[in-house]
Amino acid sequence: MEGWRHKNRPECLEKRYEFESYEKTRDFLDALGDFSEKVSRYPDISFGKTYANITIRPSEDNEKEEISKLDHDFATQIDLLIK
Amino acid sequence: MINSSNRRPNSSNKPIKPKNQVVDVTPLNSTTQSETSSKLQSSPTQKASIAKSIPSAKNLSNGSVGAGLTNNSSSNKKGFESNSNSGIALGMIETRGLVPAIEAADAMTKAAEVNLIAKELVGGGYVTVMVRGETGAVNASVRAGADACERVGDGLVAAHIIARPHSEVEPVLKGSGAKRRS
Repeated sequence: MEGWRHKNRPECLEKRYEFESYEKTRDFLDALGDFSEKVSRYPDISFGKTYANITIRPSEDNEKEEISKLDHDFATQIDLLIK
Repeated sequence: MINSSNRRPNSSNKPIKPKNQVVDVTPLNSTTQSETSSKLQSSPTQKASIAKSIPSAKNLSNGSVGAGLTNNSSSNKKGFESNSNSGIALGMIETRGLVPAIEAADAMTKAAEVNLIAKELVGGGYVTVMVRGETGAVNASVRAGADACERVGDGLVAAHIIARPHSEVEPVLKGSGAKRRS
């Protein structure tokens, strides 16, 4: 889970991925899209040609609206998409 | 007397029934409950109404299911907006120039079942197009839109997907209607 920042207001996990080209950015976003559909969970995504910012907010099931272990696991799995 | 009294109810009932059928049949088709009832009353007029209801069903499927039950099928946008704070994602693409923005909008709407809700001339040549729909559909459409406008000139500036925008954001998402900004 390297590079993920935990923010408190609003509660979220953030990471910025940098890529060499738009194609690599697109490959990552495609993989992320497939993975999100698979686990039925969608992070906020902001991207340009050579970067993508991923923001994970607490899951809807989480009543406390705090980042939980599930969110950290989700972040770890996103990291694996790039390797 | 009898004919005239019969005509009015008949004529008044006819336009009402198909409308009700369009609204009722669409959500019922998505469920398994009323397949038999719709088959029993199948007629050419109903087939037409069902065919017409498909686009509305497509749009309504982007929103929450309840939107289709309570609102008229003709006012998709209103129904969409009234329920848009409940689990409907927002996708935005900002481009440099109008041409890539249109290209992005075209690709987005073709790629997935999303509603194009606004095109905003930001100023300085920047244009933002926004779509809303089911989260997965918005995700796919924004990727497709970014891919399309990236190939048009120096089009893509930024793209953003918000899976669950807050209801307070809703008023901002309407286009300002600005024709040109310096």
